[in-house]
Amino acid sequence: MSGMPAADAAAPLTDRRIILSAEGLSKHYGQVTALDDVSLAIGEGEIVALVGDNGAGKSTMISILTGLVQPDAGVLRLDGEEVLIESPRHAQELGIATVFQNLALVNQREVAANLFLGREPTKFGFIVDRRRMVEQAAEAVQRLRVGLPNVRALAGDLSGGQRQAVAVARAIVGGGRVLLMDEPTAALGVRETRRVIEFVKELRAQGMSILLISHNMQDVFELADRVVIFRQGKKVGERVISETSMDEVVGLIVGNSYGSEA
Amino acid sequence: MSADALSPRTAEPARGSGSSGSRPLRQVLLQREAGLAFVTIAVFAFFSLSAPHFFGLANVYDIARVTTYTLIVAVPMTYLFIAGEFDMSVGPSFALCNVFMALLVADHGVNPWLAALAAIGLGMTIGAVNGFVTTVIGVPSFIVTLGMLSVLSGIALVVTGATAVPMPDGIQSSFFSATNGIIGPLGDLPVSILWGLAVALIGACFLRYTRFGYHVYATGGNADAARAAGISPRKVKFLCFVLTGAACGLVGALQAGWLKEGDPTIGSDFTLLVMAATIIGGVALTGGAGSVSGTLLGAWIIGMLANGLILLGVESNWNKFFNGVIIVLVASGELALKNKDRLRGMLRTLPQRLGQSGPARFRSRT
Ligand SMILES: Nc1ncnc2c1ncn2[C@@H]1O[C@H](COP(=O)(O)OP(=O)(O)OP(=O)(O)O)[C@@H](O)[C@H]1O
Ligand SMILES: [Mg+2]
Repeated sequence: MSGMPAADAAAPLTDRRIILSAEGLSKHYGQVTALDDVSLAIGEGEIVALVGDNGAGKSTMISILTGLVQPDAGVLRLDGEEVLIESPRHAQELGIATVFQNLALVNQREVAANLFLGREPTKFGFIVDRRRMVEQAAEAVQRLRVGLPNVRALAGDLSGGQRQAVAVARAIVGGGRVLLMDEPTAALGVRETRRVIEFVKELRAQGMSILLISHNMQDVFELADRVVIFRQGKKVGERVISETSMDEVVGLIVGNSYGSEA
Repeated sequence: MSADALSPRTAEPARGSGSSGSRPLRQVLLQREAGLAFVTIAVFAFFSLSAPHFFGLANVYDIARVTTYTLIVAVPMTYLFIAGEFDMSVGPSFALCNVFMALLVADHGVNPWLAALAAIGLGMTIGAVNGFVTTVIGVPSFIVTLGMLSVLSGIALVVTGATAVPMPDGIQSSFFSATNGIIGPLGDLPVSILWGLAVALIGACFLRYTRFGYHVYATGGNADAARAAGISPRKVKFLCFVLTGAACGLVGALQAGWLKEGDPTIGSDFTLLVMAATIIGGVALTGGAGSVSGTLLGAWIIGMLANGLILLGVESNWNKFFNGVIIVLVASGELALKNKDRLRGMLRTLPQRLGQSGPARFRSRT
């Protein structure tokens, strides 16, 4: 019963006010169906985890929500109103911030320049106001309590956790109220994973709504209020964290009735 | 495209400054700049001591005058390299703009200033075509600009019948004083040097301080990051191509002012000189790093070499040979520095690998 697609048409399992939602999204890449009629909603101040095996369509979901790709079908809603998210910049303007799976940092540039990538503060409209940029970056880093030594360091010289912090800080500096995070703890060591987790909690405490993609069940169960499960482009389940177990979620991810991979 | 399609999941290695292995990126970049300044001084000192008449204001001006054209085009070429592209058609583009300007003045009586603007316009158009085919159609710039190189030199030769286009004798215009005049009070400083310095100064400030400059670095450093941040890498690259074309137009016009003629074969070595200046100047061959000040030094090193070798009595055709060798050496050096650790490992295991084949040779790989 858990894998029945029919159950998904129902409203999300939350009574919070829905901030951002996707309804009936589909996306094809040639022969590949990356997403097939999936729906998902993020409520105010909650952390929704999105899980699924490699290639399940999680990153595709994020790409659509952040305007990098357009869906073949389906609608997006922000505060209940239908929106077309045209581009990453448009998503930013709408208050949707994204931490991409590949972090999307420019290694050769300073942390400050990375934090303000694409929206550098300027004088006269075209000269970058570097002093202001560095000041604001330092301020943001301090406010977010991310462990970054110096905003003038090159992004390429940072550790994995620090890079993650920069990516998250950048998302926040833009003034987003919805944060999409694609595997923020992948490739991180134990301590740095811890730090990111604390960080995400801190953000929720500040009222941020978060969509968190992760392969790590411990993280999901520690952080999320709800979990949505994708399998091969389809949404195969949604659970309130307090009412489910890791076994059940893992079962949904791999597909109970099929044993392992199809 | 999906956000992670372009980068493997393990693509973010912990590169902490404390970790062993590769050195901090910043240090690598700084060392390269310092090394370049050192080499410039060393080359200058070497020729000053060994080549007669090398040291002296007149000869320095001469080097600067010859270097000016290379520099003017090498500045936007630096932008292009940083953005992750390059343009091999600058030589013939220079020649065609040069011929175009001379033809306008000689055959149509166009005012030289207007003709110069037209030449710059032609250069920009050529750059726009290169940019369009590269960024919109998606053909690698290597192929586009190599094709363009042939197309443009073909046109330049055909429209002139492969002969020089002289401007009318006794033609008068302030354009000529502005391009081939000399400033007496400054020890007969050739004016054309000022054009090069102006382009370098403006180009350096623009790259370093403006938003566009930041986006040039971001485009070449990580195009996906740029795109995700709302920057259009295509637009940035396109503009860099157009700037490069404009520079070709400018040197075409300056050259026409200097010799009062157009020469369809003028640009034959020019692409190489510009590439050499830029690459010696330390742009990252993979994009994302480089500076105009580096390119300025690169252009000077090339210029000093050409000048010094002639003064030493080396046959001038050797110059081509040396320029080519330097490009390859510098590029190899850059990659070797980047892969220092891998290289060291390879050297250490070389005896074993030469001595035996089989699984043992993989032993020292981790
Ligand atoms: N640009 C693209 N072109 C073609 N196919 C794509 C593209 N992007 C994604 N896909 C395909 O769409 C499917 C879903 O990919 P997606 O990246 O969304 O998976 P994912 O759930 O994020 O996986 P992972 O856990 O490995 O990150 C995969 O089969 C993938 O190969
Ligand atoms: Mg993914």
